[in-house]
Amino acid sequence: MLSMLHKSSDIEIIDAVLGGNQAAYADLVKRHQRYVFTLAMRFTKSREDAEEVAQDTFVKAYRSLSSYQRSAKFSTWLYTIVYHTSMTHLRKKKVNTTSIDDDANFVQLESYQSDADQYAVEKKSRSFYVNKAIKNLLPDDATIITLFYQGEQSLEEIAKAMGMEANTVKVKLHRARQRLKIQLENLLQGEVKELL
Amino acid sequence: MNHIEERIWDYIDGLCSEEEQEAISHLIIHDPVYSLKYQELMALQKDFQLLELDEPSMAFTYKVMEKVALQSKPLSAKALIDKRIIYGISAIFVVLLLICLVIAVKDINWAASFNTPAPINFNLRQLGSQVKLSEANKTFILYGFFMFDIIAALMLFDKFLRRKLA
Repeated sequence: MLSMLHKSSDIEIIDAVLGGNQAAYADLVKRHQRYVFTLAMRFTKSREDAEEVAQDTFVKAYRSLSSYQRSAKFSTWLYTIVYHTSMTHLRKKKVNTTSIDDDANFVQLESYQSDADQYAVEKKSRSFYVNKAIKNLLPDDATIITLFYQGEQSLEEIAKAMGMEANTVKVKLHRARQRLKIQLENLLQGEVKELL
Repeated sequence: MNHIEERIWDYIDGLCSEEEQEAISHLIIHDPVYSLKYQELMALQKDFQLLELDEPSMAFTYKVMEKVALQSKPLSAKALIDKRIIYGISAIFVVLLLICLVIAVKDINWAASFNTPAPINFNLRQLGSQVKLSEANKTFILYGFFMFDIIAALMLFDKFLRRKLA
């Protein structure tokens, strides 16, 4: 049954869960866990907190599954839950988050420094630097890039999930890319100009 | 961000109109400023595609499902509605309709209908004046019809909203 559901669409799995097949929800979790966990990482900047937020997100999603409006993508709906869960988590932990335009106040948390050791082998690869650069961005910038490139959400879908106009999202995406480019340049210390 | 960069990003993302798309591709070919910027942004675009999703712990799904098992099962809106309520409402309406029918049958003057000389003249105004209902019965029937109309309108509105949201 589960292997059959593995190839099913999100909606089919949701219908199965709503029909009483609780085990089918595991397929939905497996399918979206990396995306949810990455988004949680963007906000919390810590693996432990991100894991907790991602788990809570899936539990909340399960509880409110019947209220999911099928007009939007399931991943878009999940994003709104990740966002609210992350904010509640951060408020509880009293971690100061900053607004999108408040670069001066942004402090990179130390937990990310350990990544350098973990990925020592691929340290020199382009992929390593890009993935490291996004972690240095403000949560809002990193999230918008994650939703657009990794979540494959359209501007309209991101706008709906974030409660903004599509044009505002477009401007924010442009700015986020600009900042990621700067971060990448800083990381590569001039190497980027040669590569570009 | 300068205007050129913004235009080229829109071009790369496929967010501009066909005319704009053609104009920008022409500029990329013929204008060295556009050409240079395009190459720069395409390289960045390739970098952004290298972004990877983070992997949670191995036991992630298991942990989630453990928590989910403690939750009550989510049910679809259909299942959430208690059928007894629906049957109760239906019973009330059936009873109301039966009362209306009984009152109407009771108020008909059967003897008058038998004495009507042939041929029968179907004059609706005349028939209307012959049906004699007390004021209380008239009000009751009137409210009954109003109620029926309101419910029918609500059902249609609900159907319309469901179709719109689907």
